[in-house]
Amino acid sequence: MSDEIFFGVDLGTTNSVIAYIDQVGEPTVVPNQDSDGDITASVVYIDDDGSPVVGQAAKDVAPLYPDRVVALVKREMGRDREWAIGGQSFTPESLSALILRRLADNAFAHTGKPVGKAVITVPAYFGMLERGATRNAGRIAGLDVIGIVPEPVAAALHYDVVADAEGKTILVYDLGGGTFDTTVIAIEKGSIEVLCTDGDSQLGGVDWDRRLADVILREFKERVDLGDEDPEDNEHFMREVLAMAEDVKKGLSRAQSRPVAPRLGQTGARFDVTREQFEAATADLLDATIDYTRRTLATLAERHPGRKVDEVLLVGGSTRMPAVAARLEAELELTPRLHDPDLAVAKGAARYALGQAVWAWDGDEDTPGEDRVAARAEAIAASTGIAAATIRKIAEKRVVTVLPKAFGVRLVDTSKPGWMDDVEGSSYIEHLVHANDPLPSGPHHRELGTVVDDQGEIEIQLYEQSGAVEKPELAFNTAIDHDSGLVSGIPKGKAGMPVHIDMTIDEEGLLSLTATEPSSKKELTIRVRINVLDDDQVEAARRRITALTVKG
Amino acid sequence: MSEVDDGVAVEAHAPVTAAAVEALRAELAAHGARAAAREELIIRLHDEVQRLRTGERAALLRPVIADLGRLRNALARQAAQAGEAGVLFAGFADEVGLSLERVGASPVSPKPGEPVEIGAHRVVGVVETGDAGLDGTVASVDADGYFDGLAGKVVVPALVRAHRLKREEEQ
Ligand SMILES: Nc1ncnc2c1ncn2[C@@H]1O[C@H](COP(=O)(O)OP(=O)(O)O)[C@@H](O)[C@H]1O
Repeated sequence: MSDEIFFGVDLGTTNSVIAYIDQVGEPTVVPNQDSDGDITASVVYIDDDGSPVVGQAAKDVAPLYPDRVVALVKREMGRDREWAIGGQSFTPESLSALILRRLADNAFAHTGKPVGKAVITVPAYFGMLERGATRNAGRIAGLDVIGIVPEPVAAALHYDVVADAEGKTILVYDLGGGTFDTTVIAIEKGSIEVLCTDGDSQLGGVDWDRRLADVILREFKERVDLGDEDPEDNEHFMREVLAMAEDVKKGLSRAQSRPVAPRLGQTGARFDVTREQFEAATADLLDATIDYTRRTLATLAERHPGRKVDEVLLVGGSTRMPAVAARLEAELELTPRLHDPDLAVAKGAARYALGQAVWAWDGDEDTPGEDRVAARAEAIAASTGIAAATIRKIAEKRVVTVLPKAFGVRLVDTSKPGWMDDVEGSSYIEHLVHANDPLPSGPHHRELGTVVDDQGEIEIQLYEQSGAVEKPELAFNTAIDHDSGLVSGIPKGKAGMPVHIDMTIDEEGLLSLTATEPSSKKELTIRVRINVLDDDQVEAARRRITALTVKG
Repeated sequence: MSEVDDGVAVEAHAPVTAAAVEALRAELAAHGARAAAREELIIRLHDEVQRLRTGERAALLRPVIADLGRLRNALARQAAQAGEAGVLFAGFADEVGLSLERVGASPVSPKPGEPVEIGAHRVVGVVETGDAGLDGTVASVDADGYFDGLAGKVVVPALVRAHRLKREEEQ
């Protein structure tokens, strides 16, 4: 039975893409049935009666129903947000699940098979909450999420720079529609690590469009006599010019000049816009991305002295602009690689999904043995119809992702004079796990003690590092626990009663905590929840969302 | 050789032969499975080719429909001019309309007052109204959209301005 398909999903801020490994072992993008090309706009519209529409059609009615259309939901992932639309309430997870459902339905129409196992990508800077929310979005959509992988890591898999690349350092430059990220990853023996990441969530292709629209408008005004009519007052004309600018921009990625013919009422003009003009008008935007790239490299030099970038990979539709590669090449003296930049992440994620399945391992040793990998490849060959040799080649190297940020518990420094009057000021974060620890990680052990007599309970607060560097001060950490975090049932006694805490993070990046009372070895009750939604909420949302037909 | 001899010979080598037969059987089973998988693959590929043919044609036609549609819209706009030029442009617009028809595409031209249709209309502007009955309907059409008969869907949405009910507090 060759039924099983492994999917990779690039759940993007503005656009999403779904890809799978086809029977010859090639990553293949599922074309969007609803509009042109392979990309689905990450926009959701909810009808009066609660039925959803995802994609361009949703985007097209946004001006009419601003309250019923949600865009940029990725920016809310991991937050406790709610939208009430069409008599229903939606979370960032359930809205993302609707986008995933639409992608999965398209994939079903294309492959004839329901989407089961899938890997979803996230930005490298996403922490535990955001990753957990992304995984839950997948579960709500009814997918079997077998992994969450950082976008630059997926891109590296797509570019095939992972095999035989131990010790290689790779810079991934990702310029999309509305966001820019630059990330350095290291390919190590048995893992891929994200070394540092930086970027701007408000810089992307749309800024280039606006600049080009200005150029077109200026040229138009020079050529026509509009009397005292100001074209900028004409909302429709301005929107047309902006749409025209995006088209012309894409054209200028191929040709040196493009004709444009804006028309306002009966007044029209026709002229050429050159790549030179376009590049001059957008030079400072490109400069800004180069500044971020330099900053990323400076961080790399600081934290990993002596590490040199070996490869530069371009990701995101906007890296098709020739100026990007040219400028990076001049800047870094490396020839950047450019191949399917807007599909690279989804394709790489599909490869990762297949690899995950081959290397899936819950044995005692660190890695599965040769025999076991071979057997898994055979089994997957039988279930997918892809040749075992091809599978082994795709999954040549085991990819282990690492923890993006450090985690720890909040403690009070009782050696500090006056701590009782200023608990906040005497608090600090003790990190039990650290960024770049390979997953799974732990158990990490810590012995805590009560601070007053007959305390009976300890409140544990979990924190994740918020900045780029791990620091103990509260201000540099974010609380991530969504429950009281109360450890109860500690026997009465003098201050200093010991409590043992163990923190484990599984392969998926899910964190679990246990607390024990050492003298009796009794497990204490501990109430922590790292995800915004708990399992019951996810299940309820899954039942609700999978019952809906998501139209495109 | 006698049959008994044969029997003895078989007897003597029994353990080896049994293993060999078992191996052969496994091999055959594997072959069978592979053949079945191949068979299945062929059937699937055939289906896929059929599906792709239709899909491919729609995908190829789509940009043609979009471009011709844009041209027809531009000509129609010029046709609004007074005099001979206007008539000439209107003729060209009709001509392009026929080309579209030949590839199975037809214009989407909503009438003012019709409800805005998701997937078929793109709202490029809103017109506030105090009349609740008009809320969510087309106020005016900026450009026709196009429906691809082969793919059975709208490939270029009509650009419309839509009525939106003024909120209470704004009235
Ligand atoms: N050929 C091209 N030349 C220049 N820009 C392009 C080209 N193709 C796509 N783009 C731009 O890429 C951006 C979309 O990138 P994408 O990676 O899909 O977005 P995101 O990662 O934000 O979801 C848009 O701004 C689009 O205009």
